[in-house]
Formats: sequence, structure tokens, C-alpha cells
Amino acid sequence: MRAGELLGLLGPSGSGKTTLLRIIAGLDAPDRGRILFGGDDATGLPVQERAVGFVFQHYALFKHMSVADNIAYGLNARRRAERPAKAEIKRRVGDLLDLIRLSGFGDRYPSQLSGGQRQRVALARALAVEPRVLLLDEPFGALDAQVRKDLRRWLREIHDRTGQTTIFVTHDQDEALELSDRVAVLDRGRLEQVGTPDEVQENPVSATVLKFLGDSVEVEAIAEGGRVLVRGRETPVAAPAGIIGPVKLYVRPWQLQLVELDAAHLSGVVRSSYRSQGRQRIEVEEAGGQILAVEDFDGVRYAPGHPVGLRINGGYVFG
Amino acid sequence: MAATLAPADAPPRPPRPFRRPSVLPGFGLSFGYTLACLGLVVLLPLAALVARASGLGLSGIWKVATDPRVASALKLSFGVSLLSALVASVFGFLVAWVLTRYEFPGRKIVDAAVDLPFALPTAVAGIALASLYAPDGLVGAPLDRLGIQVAYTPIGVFVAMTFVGLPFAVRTVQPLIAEIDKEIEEASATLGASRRSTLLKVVLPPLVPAVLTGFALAFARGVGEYGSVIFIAGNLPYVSEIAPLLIVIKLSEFDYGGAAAIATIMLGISFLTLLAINLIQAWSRRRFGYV
Amino acid sequence: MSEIFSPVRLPDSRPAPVTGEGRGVRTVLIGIAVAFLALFLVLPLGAVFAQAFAHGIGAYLDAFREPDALSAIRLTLTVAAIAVPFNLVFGVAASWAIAKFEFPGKTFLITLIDLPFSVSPVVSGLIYVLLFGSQGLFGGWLQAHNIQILFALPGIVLATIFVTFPFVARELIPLMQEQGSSEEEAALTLGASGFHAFRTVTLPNIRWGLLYSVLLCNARAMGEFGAVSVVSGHIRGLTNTMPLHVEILYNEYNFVAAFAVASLLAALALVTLVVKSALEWRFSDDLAAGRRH
Repeated sequence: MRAGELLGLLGPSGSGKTTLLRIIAGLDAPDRGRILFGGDDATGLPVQERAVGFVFQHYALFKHMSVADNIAYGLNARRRAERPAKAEIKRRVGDLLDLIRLSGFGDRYPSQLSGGQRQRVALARALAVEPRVLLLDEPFGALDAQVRKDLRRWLREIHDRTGQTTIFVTHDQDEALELSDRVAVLDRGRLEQVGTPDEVQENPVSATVLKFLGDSVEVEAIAEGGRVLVRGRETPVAAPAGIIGPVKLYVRPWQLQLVELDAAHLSGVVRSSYRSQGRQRIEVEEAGGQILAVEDFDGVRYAPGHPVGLRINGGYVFG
Repeated sequence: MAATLAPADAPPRPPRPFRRPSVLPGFGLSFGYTLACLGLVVLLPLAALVARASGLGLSGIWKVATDPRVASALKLSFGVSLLSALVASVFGFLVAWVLTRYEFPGRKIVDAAVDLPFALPTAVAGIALASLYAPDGLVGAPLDRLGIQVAYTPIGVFVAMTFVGLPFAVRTVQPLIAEIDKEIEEASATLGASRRSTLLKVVLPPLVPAVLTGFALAFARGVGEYGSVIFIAGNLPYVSEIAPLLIVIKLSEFDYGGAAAIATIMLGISFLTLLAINLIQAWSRRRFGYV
Repeated sequence: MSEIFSPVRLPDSRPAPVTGEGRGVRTVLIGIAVAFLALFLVLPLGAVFAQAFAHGIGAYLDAFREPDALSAIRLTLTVAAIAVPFNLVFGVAASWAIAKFEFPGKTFLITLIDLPFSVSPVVSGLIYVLLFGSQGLFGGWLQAHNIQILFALPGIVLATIFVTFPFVARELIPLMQEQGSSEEEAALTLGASGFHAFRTVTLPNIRWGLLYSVLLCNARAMGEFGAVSVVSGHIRGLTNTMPLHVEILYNEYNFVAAFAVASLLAALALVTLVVKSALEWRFSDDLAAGRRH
């Protein structure tokens, strides 16, 4: 992980992303492996000395303390020699309240705040100790859609302003792709791929990563002479080196195009079509019963039952 | 029930009905029966006490309360039950903590045993405690050799009151300890706080209202307790005679006024305790959003 | 990042779990708690049985050949057989009115129902003496009509009802509030009569809570001492309940007999605890969550 970057840990539930975050924080112990902070081994370091800022999914604010006391908690917990003076703590709390746009809320209690406000207080509390790394566990998981969107943009802003090295966990692809400098995709405790949002979307290293990042259709295909053939017809997809014989071709909805039957790789009848966010989405049922989703800007409407052909304009084959 | 239906030519805004309309039947019957039982079984007899006490007047009650024997019994009842509620709260907290936080063999049985003082009839507890703590008893004998006499002294009263108060102290705190969010403690640790400081600053403060409530309940129970105390207390006037026993003595002397006066004082204290508990809970709900 | 997954053997310096105490502290705390409870709560219970059988099983059984002991047992059963069903009906009616309907003053009503819990048992007895005693409010009238309430069964039953008054209602109100009324409303829309809905929907939903509260109510009814002691008059063979009989025997230094009768009550307490715990373990979801004793 690079200093100053915003890394998104993405994976389905149960993929071990929260566990990984907790291990980095020192809340759980790893079975094997080491945790390195800038070259220092932190594996044996107790959580108190790791200097991480952890923001919990359900905020974990101290209900009996005011917002200001919550934010100042980490500073007050320091040994006397390292503890800033009272006035300094007060100043920093004020700055953080400004940062999270809750100036004047210092004397309130968590029970008097909305979910989004609590989330921001939790973030300020974690930032107050000037952590080496900020860890966010499903930071927007418990919020409703609109607040979630606002907070996302706001978190990105804060990150750009502070340059704080940050790891956040999410199961929401959009969230990870929108926010992160780089995304790490986890599956069943294994790290599948790390890369920029563009890299992981354009060049997924495995079917798992591909499937997790969006809809796709699985098509039986043959790799031959460096190309991938579907139903005997050549596609623009290149076969990975050294792969010959039957393969699975994964195709995104926007890589399928409606064409005349005689130019098609696949064919079927329209089952339904609807418009969403400026696109036409058409579901086609193949003879075998498989449903293919097609996305198109065309705007032509097809009645259910209408026979159509589909051309494959791209796709992915994994070794 | 019919009162909730406004007639056809009613003014635009009908009078607010006593209860919010509901399709469920039986409100009149169940509500009426409830009030009737409550009135006959609870309120009417309590009114008899109030009537008798107001017949005495404040000066009459004061005269009874300042009688040296009554005064020393009241002092003993309130003083010792405060002390025993304190001890029950401390040990009760420890027991509740151990039962909710740690897993150990036999935990469920230990948990069930906490309710023993609730289930055991007070007279049975009383004679059992008396026989155990008597100078020749299983616990009393070794203590006696150390020069500590428990039975037939205020210490005996203390033991019995702690016995009956303990379940209150445990059961009021236990659910709140169980509800403590582990993430709160983890958050405190990631912010650099030591375990000790996490416990003192983050875990304990929200439990204070529950501990106080448990203390108040144990205290109220101790003040009024009769059966488990009288056997071990020995009931020496001016030494180990409790206020409820004095009521019984006054009654056996047909001094209804004296009995009513002592009862009024005790009732007053339990109402104040009840009020205190409600205030603690209201404060806690306002402050933390839970009881 | 990938270092996290590299197979390096971990040094034995794992950080301790942050939300618990160390093994040593834990063991000490468990030890103190268990020792305290054993010495303070369990030992007295053991003492009851030890003393009861101190002179062998023969002496133990002799205690129950006494006609006074038998009449005390009979009286206790009679009192419980009247007081418990009374409070059961009251509790169900009160919780139906309070949990299923909205009306002003509800909190105050609940406080009044709870009142007997915060009254000393002796005071609970006293109020009936002030009502029905020879110098009491109705004393003269009762004497003129030759009706005996005090120092007789009615007085004992009344005092017992008073001290056990809140048990059933207190358990059922939060339970029924938690369950709401949507199931009953559904039954009504399906054409059930009010009583039919109560019998087929409400009762099955509250049955474990009901059993639980009746159990505790019964234990208290059979074991009540202070209140009953004030109203009973201690007439041997007539108005002595089991706890009162225990007191008399104990004060006569007839310890074996006293503890023998006490052992019956203790056994009742044990059975109550076992069934209560079993109900809590098995049906914790069907019992009111916010229960307090």
C-alpha cells in the first residue's frame, strides 16, 4: 500500500475484508503473515500502540460523552508526557469539528445526532490521533442512499485535503470504484487483484473479480489459433497465450449488440426490455433457456417473443 | 366504548376520545376489571393506612418516630440496609460481570442460583441463615473464635439484608453489561487507551444508572425485609430490632396508631426510593437514549 | 499489502484480545464470584436440608405426622389455589387493557399495579388489619354481622393476593406490548370473534410468559411470611401456613421439625428455579425482553 493513497477493499460478504482490516488495526491476530507499517513490523504491537484510526461500521461512539469529548478521547488517553495541553486539545477538536462541518455541535451527545452526523464524528475521532493509517469498516453501510452519496463525495474531499493514508472496506462496487485510488478485490480470504479502478475493470485477473465488478454472461466458446470462437464464428476477443480448446467467455451486457440473425454469434427471443438511466436494457432468452442481458443506446423497442441475433464485441477469457 | 363514536350531526371537531380507537374488543371489560381489582385489593387498604396516619397528624407520627426504641429501630433498618445495598451492589456488579463476560463450566447453574433469594421463602432463608451464623453454626463458630459475633447483632441483620438484596443488584446490571457493544471497547483501544482506562472511562460510566437503580431496589427491599431478618437478628431492643418487627409488636399490643405511624414513615421512604429510581432512569434515557 | 498473506511463522507475541481481561484476572474474578455465591446463597439452602435430616430420615418424616403440620400444608395449598388464579385473571385482564389499547395515564396505572412490590410485607399485612381489625375501618360492622376476615382464611388470602398482585401483570404487559396487536387484528379481519382471537392468537403467544409468571407468583404465595404473619393470628392447626408453622417450630427449638417443613418450601423454591431457568433457556424469545424482578 502506498503512503497517502485511498485504498478500497472490495469483496462479497464473508470474503474476509473486515477481518483483514481488524488484523491491520491489531483487533484480531493473524494466523500467519506479518503487518508492516512503512517497513516497521507491527505484527506483535498491541492495538493501543499501532497508531491506527479505526472507524466502525456502527460508529461505536461513546454515548455518555459529548461530541467534543468523543473527538478528544484519543488525545486524552495519551501518557501525560505525550498528551497535548488542554488548550491545544480544544483547538484541535475545534479544527476537526470544522472539518466535519459540525462546528457548534461539540456539546451535543451522540443520541442527539443523525446517522450521517455520527459517522462524521466517528471519523473526526479517528483522525484526532493523527493515525499512520485510517481504517474505515463499511463506512456508509448503515446510512440511507442520499446521505451515503453525499458522504462519499465528502470523504474523497477530506482525503484529498489531508492526504491521509486510508483503507476502507465495502461490498458496494460503485462505492469502491468511485472513491478509491486503488481497489483491492478479496474473495474467500484471498487477495484476487489490486489495481486502479480502471485496471481492475478493464483487465480483471479472474472470473471472480469480473463477476464481482458487474453483470456478465457466460458463453461456451472455443479457443483456436489465438482467437476465441463462438458457435463457429470468430469474435474480436483474443485467446490468452497457450490456451486451446473449450473455454468460458465472459461478456458484459454492453459488449453485446443486437444484429441481423445471419451476422450473429448468439440468437434467441426477446423476453423483456425496459429503459433505465438513458439506456435500453433487453433480456434475450437463448434456445437453451439461458438469459442474456444486452445494453444498448439504440432505443428500438422489441416486443417480447421477437427473434433477435446478438453479436459479441468483446469479452474475457481466463486461463 | 360507544363514546368513541361521534353522532352524525357532531360539530366538525368531535371531543377527543378517552382512548385511541381500536378494532380490538374488550377494552371496557378488561380496563374496568383491572381498576376494580386495583381499587379493592391495593388502593382501598393503602387508603386505610393513609386515613389512620392522617388521623395521627404529623405531630403524632413525629412523636412515635422519636420514641427512643422506634428511633433506634428505624436507624438500624435504614442504616444497615444502606450498607448492605452498597455491598450487594459491589458484589452484584462483580457477579453480573463474570456471568455475562466470561464463559466457564457451570455458568448457567451459577446464573440460576442468583435468583435463590427470590425463590426461597423468607422464613426459610431466615432460619437457615440463623443456624449457619449462630455461635455454634457452620460459619458462625469460626467467626466466633475470631471474636466476631454475627447472629443476634446488627451484623446478622446486615447478612440477611445483603442476602435478599443481591439478586436485585445483579439482575438490574446484567442486561446492560450484556448489551455493551464490543466495538466501543475496540474503538477506545484503537485510540490508544489502556484496558484499565477503557474500563474506567468507556465501559463503566454508562452502567452507573443501572448500578444506582439496583442499589435503590436492594435498599428498598432491605428496609422492608422481615422474614429473613428476624431469626438471625435476635431482636434485642435498641440493638438488633428492625422497624418492621416493631410494627408487629405494636400490633400485638393493639397499638394500631403506633403501627400505622411507623408504616407511614417506611412507606414514605419507599416512595422516595421509587421516585429516585424513576428520576435516575429518566435522566439516563435523556442522556444516553436508553435505561 | 501482499506481505499480509506471506507464510511467515508468527512470533509468539500475538496481541491480547482487546475486549477481555487476561486469563489470570479472569480466573480470579470468576473464583471470587463463584465462591461468594456458594458461601452466601447456596450454603443456606444446603443448611436447610442438612438440618432437616440431622437426626435421620425417621425424625424427618415424623415432622409430617403432626396434625398441625398437615393442616399448615393444607392451608398453604388452599391459599395458593385461590390467590394464584385470582392474580392470573387480573394479570391477563390488566395486560390486555394496557398493552393493546392507548389511553392517557397508562404509566401511572402501571406504577399503581407495581406498588405492592415496594411495600414492606409487614405493612402489606398491617393495611388489612387497619381495614378489618377490631379497631379498623370496617371492624365494627364486620363484628356486628359476625363476619371473620382477620385471623381467618379470607384475611390470609387477601394479604397473599396483595403481595403477589404485580407478578403476572408485570411479566405480561411488556410481553404483549412487544408483540403488538397486528396478529389479533389479522384474526378479526379473517372473521374471528374477539374472544376467539384472544383464545387462538393471544394466549398461544403469551403462554410461556404466563407459565413463567404463574410459577413465580405461586412460589411467593406459598412462601409469604411477613404479611401473612400479621393477619393470621397464629392459631395452630387453623390459621398457620407453612412458613408460620416453621417459625413456631423454630421458636420452640424443635429444629428438626422446623427444617423438615422448611425443606418442603425449599424444594418448591428449587423446582421453581429449575423450571424458570429451563423456560428462560428454551423460550427466551417468548418471554418479555425487558423483564426485571
